[in-house]
Order: sequence, then structure tokens, then C-alpha cells
Amino acid sequence: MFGRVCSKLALLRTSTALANLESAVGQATLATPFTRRWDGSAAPAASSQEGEALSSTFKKHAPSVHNTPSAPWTPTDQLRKRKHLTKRMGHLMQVLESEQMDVNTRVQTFPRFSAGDFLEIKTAVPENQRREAVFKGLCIARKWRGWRSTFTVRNFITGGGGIERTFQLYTPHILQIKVLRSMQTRRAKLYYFRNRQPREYRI
Amino acid sequence: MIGSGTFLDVTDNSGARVVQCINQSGTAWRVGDTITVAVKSASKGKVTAGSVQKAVITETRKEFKRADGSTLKFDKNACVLVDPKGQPIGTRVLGFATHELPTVIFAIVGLGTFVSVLMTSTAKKLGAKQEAPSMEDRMKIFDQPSTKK
Repeated sequence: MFGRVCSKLALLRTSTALANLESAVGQATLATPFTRRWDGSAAPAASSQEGEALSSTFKKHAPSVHNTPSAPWTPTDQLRKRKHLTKRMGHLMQVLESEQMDVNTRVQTFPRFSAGDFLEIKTAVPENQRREAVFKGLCIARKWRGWRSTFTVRNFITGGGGIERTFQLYTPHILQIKVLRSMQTRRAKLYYFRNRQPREYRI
Repeated sequence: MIGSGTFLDVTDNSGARVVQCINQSGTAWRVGDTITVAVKSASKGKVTAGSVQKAVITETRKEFKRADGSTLKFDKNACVLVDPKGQPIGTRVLGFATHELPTVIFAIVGLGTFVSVLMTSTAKKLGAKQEAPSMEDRMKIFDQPSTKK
């Protein structure tokens, strides 16, 4: 690529653009051999001040090996880049979900919690006429899927029985999550508590 | 998912202990549905063992979904006995009661029952918390400009 660039620049040696470029980098010699770096930028074979400066100029316009768009880019560019319909739709879904996550995290801030934490969750659901209700229990699972992330809380109520509830993390119905205490766990998913005595996980 | 032949625990004070679903097989029923049951064992109360009753399913081991995508499941299958008109036979629900149940059942849900998301009218009378802001008011927060970075 850069071999072709150099040859083209040699042809356009009299153009003003090239003159500007040369003046900008001083007395750069375009005949200096360039080697390609891992990120697609050009590096001079022998490190020199002019070579470094020239390489940074070329780096600005270097093609990215990982195909990331160079700023400024537009959403339509991202869609045009994807040739298949399912990939375009997949990208749209990704963008919409990350936007929605952004909206929710501006309003809802939850503490860091994981499986093994005893949680107190305040909810206000439309089924309950938006009254505040509290659900306590042990978090036995956290599922990380971006906007579709969930967490499962298990509890045992004396006189009622065991109850397990899976919440959508980014639902506006959750008002607050509080971590009451933590237990040491060696697992990400604590489904084994379903077969354990309730006194081990009830709160 | 309660089907024909499923045994359920009875979580009211009607007298029955264990009942068996005797609906026609082919479909399955969920929390809030009314099924026909045969009382298998009962203690002293309004119903006797061997009778056929109607019941409203209150708890299932199979999870059921809420509108926001959250799910809820219990450790046992349970029901509450009702008469053919739908009025509960017992006077107290001793297990869980969720919003999927018909309103008549909630009339007998007392303070002793743990209700997963509902605050009963009795609890409210005893000085329960005020209502949370409405959903519309809470969604307005999303329209405000962000103060974060």
C-alpha cells in the first residue's frame, strides 16, 4: 500500500499538497524505506526524526487492520458496511440496546453485586398499582447480556415456602438494590441452594 | 404447569391438605387458573377427603412471566379451594398470593401471608407506606437532561 503511495507521491511531486506535506515534515525523504506496523501504520526502517513525523502523518490516514471506522463516522456508514440484512439488523439491535442501557443507568444506579450477596430489592410494579414492595433474598445467579441482563434471587419464607425470582436488571420497576451482606462463594451460579436447607440462604 | 393428575398442596384453612387435579388431560394450567380437584387428604374443616372441589392455582414450580420479562417460581405446587361460583371456601390464604390471582382471593389474604408484591388493604390500614410515585412520573426522569458526565 505504502509502496504505491510513495510512487504516487513521487509522481505528484510538483503538486501543492505534496509541497505542503514536505514543508510540514521538514526535509523528509520519501525515498526512505517504510515498514508496516502491526496496526497498519507506516514506520521508517531507520528511526529518524523526519521519519517519525512522516509516519505519524501517514498513521492518521492509515487503513485500520481491524476495520474500525475512522472518525467522523455516521450510523449509516456502519449499516452500509454490513452487507447482509441480518448483520445490519443485529447492529441496529446492538445500538438500540446500548442506548437504552445508557438511559437507564443515568437514572438507576445499582451497587456492584454478584451471586452470593444477600439483596434487598425495592420494586414498584404496575400490577401492584406502583406501590413499593420489598423483595429480599440471596442472589444465586447473574446473567450478563447487556440490556437483557438478569439476576435471580432466592428466599425461603417461613409458612410460605421457597420462592425464586428473576429480575430484569434494566427494568424501570426496580427502584433500589441494596446489598445486605455477602457470603463467600466459589461459583458464579449457586443453583445448589435449591437442594440445601433453607436456613443456609434465607434472610 | 399443572396438568391432569398433579398433586397440589392446599394453602388455605378450608380443611383440605392435598388435592389432585382431575381436569381433562391435554393442556396445562398456570397460576390464577381454576381447576377441578379431588381432595385426597383433609383435616377437620369445611371439606372432607374424597370430595370434588374447584381450586385456584396459587403456586407452581414452573416459572411464570411478568410483563416486564421477570419470572417467578415457587418450590411447590399449591392451590386454594373455591366454590363453583369462584368464592373461596377458606377464610385465610396461608401460602403465597400473587397478582395473577382473581381479586376475590385477595379479600382473604391476611397479614400472615407473605405476598410477593402486594401490600394488602389490612397492612395499609396499619400504617403502611405511602404510594410510590406513578409510573408516568418516574418515566419523566428519563426525559430530564443528564447531570452525569
